[in-house]
Amino acid sequence: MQVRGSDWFTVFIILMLGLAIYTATSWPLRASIIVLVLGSAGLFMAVVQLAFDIRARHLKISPRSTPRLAMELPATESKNPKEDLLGTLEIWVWLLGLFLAIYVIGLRIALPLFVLSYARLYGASWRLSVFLAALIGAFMFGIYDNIMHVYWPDSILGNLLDLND
Amino acid sequence: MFEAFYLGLSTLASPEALAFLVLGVVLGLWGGALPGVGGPAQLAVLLPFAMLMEPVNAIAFLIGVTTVGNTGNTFTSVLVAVPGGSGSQATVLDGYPMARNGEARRALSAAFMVSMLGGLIGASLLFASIPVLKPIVRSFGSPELFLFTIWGLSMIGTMSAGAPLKGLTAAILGVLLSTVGQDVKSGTMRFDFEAPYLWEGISVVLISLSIFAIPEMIALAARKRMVADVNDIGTTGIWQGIKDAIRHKWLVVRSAVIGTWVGIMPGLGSDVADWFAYAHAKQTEKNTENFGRGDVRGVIAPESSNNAKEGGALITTLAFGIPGSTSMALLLIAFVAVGLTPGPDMLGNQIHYIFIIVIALALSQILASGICWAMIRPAAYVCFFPFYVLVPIIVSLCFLSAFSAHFSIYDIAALLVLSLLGYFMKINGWPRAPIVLGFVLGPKVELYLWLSIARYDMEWIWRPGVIILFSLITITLLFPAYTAWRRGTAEIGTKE
Repeated sequence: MQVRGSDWFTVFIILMLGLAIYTATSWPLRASIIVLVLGSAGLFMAVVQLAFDIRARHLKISPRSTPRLAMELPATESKNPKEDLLGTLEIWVWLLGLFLAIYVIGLRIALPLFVLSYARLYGASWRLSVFLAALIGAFMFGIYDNIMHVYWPDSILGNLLDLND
Repeated sequence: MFEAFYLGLSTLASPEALAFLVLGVVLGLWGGALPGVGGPAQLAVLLPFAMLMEPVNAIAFLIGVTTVGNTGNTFTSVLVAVPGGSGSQATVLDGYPMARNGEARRALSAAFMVSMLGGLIGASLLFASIPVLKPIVRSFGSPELFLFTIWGLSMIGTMSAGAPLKGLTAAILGVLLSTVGQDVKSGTMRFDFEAPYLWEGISVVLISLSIFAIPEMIALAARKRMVADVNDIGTTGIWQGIKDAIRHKWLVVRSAVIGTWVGIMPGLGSDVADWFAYAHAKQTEKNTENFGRGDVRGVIAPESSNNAKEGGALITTLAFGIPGSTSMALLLIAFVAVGLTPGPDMLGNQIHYIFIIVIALALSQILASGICWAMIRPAAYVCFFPFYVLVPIIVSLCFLSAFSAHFSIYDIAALLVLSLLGYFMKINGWPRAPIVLGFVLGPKVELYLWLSIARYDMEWIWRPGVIILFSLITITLLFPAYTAWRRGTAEIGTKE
């Protein structure tokens, strides 16, 4: 029996639904009824989906015979899957790094710094990179600071230097 | 009636009122085009200024701000797959593929044309329906509203033709995500994991950004190319878009009527009008195999309905004093502050204000579409920007937009966690739109079901409105099976 990555994702969905149903059993009925009823239906459908997927592969049904997925944007044709995978890992590292930077140095500095470093590292000129970073900085200062008067989240650096709002 | 209309028209025709209308439209478009800035947040900021104005100026300004956001947010939905607001989520499904196919200008042009037409139809229905609407809306209780939301959910099965089980499971996941936080009926904390951040639940902004925008930006960053898959921006897109809108005029009208009706229903929420219209188009149009791949009808239907719903929402806000959304609630506060009395009184001695609102609504739609048309050509070049310009800017806007949900760093953490879900759904072939639709409809399904049982016990299932709506749901579920069966019979006949 061949099990693929997409099957593991379906298993993950099944586990999530199972966990949701189990958690809801400890709530009063008026709070849990929708989770119990719809969650059970979802769990059943996900299990059937997994069985269909594995059976289709076992019977070697060609992927071409599977109808196109509706209510979804068309997938991008990958010309170089290896490079795409590397690119995906790269951007996830950037996103996690940005979150860490927000936590350490604060949103106001982290976002322009992210724009500057990302644009510069992937080929933009210094002038363009600085312009883009300034654009985001000005947007935050103009809208969020001056019009919406937002309280920015505390950062470690802000706490150390007593710069938080 | 005609005297009141003339009085309304002549009052609004003053240069000062028109200037405030233009200012409101420009601000409304600007807020709509920037994710996280428009909608109720923008209205809340502008409200104190509007309350100091003369009534007619305040009406012109606020109608301009409130009713054109859905026209402005088409830009980001089509060009970079970032729904600028909750009313433009369905536009992404065909608008973004059109942009990737080099048809951004056609998609935008068609969207702005039908936005204007939809808005005008909504305004006309607002004008025409006030005398007859009262009994119809009053006949809609919680059982009918429950069936109405179930109708919305049942459309998912028919729309996810390639993977109905995955579509329905994704919708259920969306409903379950919507239950996170305090249950208002029992006070129970659901799925909060003892984290105070989750007590208020997850924002729909976070869901739409993490399910659509961030996964698309990840794909763009991984490909290291631009949005468009072609190098030519084309020269005929704008006229083609206008022709598309005219060619599909009946779809425009039907979608606008759906949008107006959804807007009229108090509590149904304006977030679902575009989905209802998209589902309707997919079900009733011929040759729908290109839906989701860049079919202009997939842009026309949601854009027509999401602007028409403003007229519908104003009907209940003005005639009954019942706001159908947060924006309408804020608008109601402003109207009361400047001396209007929304409710049945408004149909009597203040009826000329209703005409001012109808005319301002119609003018706003025309003005907004005109301004957006002028912006199509420069905006379409966004599709040809290199990834290292678009990715950091859009990711930053997404982070800021997510942060606007509760102004907490946990908003950004939640965005990343939910983006993982959106990303894995995308790469594993799970449709993502149903999760958003399930999330939007989930709280309403639960609330109206509970209200129906609490108010009517099980007697509610015999109400005439419930029976009619139940029949419509049955038709919705069986219609695709019937057409598939008929197609199959026809194919067998041809082979024989």
